[in-house]
Amino acid sequence: MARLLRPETVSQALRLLADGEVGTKLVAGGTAVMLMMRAGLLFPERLVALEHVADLDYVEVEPDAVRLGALTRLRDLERSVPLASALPTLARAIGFVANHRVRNRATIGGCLSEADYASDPPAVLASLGARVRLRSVRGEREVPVTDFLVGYYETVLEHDELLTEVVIPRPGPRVRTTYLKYVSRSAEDRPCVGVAAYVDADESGRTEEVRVAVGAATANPFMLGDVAQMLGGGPLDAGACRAVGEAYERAIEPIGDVRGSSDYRRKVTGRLVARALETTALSGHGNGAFRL
Amino acid sequence: MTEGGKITVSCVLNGAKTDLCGEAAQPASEALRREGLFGVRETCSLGVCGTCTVLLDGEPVSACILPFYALEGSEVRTVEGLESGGRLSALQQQFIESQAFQCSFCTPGFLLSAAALLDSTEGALTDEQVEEGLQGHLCRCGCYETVKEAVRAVAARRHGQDAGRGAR
Repeated sequence: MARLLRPETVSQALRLLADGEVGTKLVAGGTAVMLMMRAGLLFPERLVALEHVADLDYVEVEPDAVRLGALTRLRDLERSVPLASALPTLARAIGFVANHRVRNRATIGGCLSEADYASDPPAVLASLGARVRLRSVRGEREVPVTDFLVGYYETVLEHDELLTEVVIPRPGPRVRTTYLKYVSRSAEDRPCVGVAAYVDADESGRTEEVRVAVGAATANPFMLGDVAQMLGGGPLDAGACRAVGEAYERAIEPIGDVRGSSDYRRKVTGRLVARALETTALSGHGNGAFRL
Repeated sequence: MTEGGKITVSCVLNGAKTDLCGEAAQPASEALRREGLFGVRETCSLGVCGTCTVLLDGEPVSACILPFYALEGSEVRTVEGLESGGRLSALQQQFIESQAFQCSFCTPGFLLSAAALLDSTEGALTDEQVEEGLQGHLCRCGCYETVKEAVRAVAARRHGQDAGRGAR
């Protein structure tokens, strides 16, 4: 039977983590931890319930960055007018997670710390160049989301660290972003493959920066290095979108699971990457998220 | 801060101040059923199907993956708390009139999410709003259309009343 601890401030929580007692598990909304406990995958001796920790529930839109408190619930993020205005693709994509009952409990910090590969927000955050702020009694550090997630359900969090904030740089005015969520079973399923695209191009269509993150197909969001370089700075026309899709299809080594075999996901990745880039750069529907 | 395996939580359960005793991390659905609230029905145990839905401070959550300790200090409503003084709510009555169920196993969950949707909106509702509000509720008899019809009917009726008041 797990003992329950309910810190009310970040420093109380950090002190609890610092005592190094084994079998300690942090719980935010509990939707992931409860699933794992019920499945017999987790049997913590000590639960640190974070929901009453003060001052970690916020959306702050600054000129250069958007800051999300780690304990902000997904439901509040999807409904946040400032977030929808600053980062519409992210706000919409968060609304695609599970169902409203889960989003009423699940938090953005919990979502990232759980590091489930079959999840929508990580790919979008990776494509936006988001960072996470990790705090412990020893101090704090900021880590890009792409470095934070290191394996299936694995992050770089040390045992005494707490993810307290997600920091997302605000894209410039000409940047367009898209997230495509493809599900293979039911409408509210986790993604089989999700693709987040970020395109910075000038008026003539010449690309300055292009980022594509494929989620749910590999342990962590899969990104090829500078896609713009691959395009030689040329415009993102239909042929170029297909070429990038093909490059992703060749490079990715997807997982095979109940939502699709590895081979199936590889093919879906190629088509979906091309379509995400077309939607972002060519369709005039940039800055949105769509379910397929 | 509290410690210990068994804990007592104080909450307002269907309008009455209640103390519940249980294991901190047990599913809230189990604790509520132990109180005789059998409208909290557990099916998938994954937060997917919606049959264990309860309203926590007015918002629908899946009680099967809600830790028991999270009930502390909150207002909890189950389907048993929708009626008042032995009278069904307008929504429940409309479910009967629209025949919005067949076997009725999923009905408590649908009712609670629909009640939360109606509480958080005003006037008539579009199909899209109803579908969004009832997202993630599974009905294996396939009564979705009549469920939507029932919720829209209640919303339309209050809309008519609002409009009537406005006209006067």
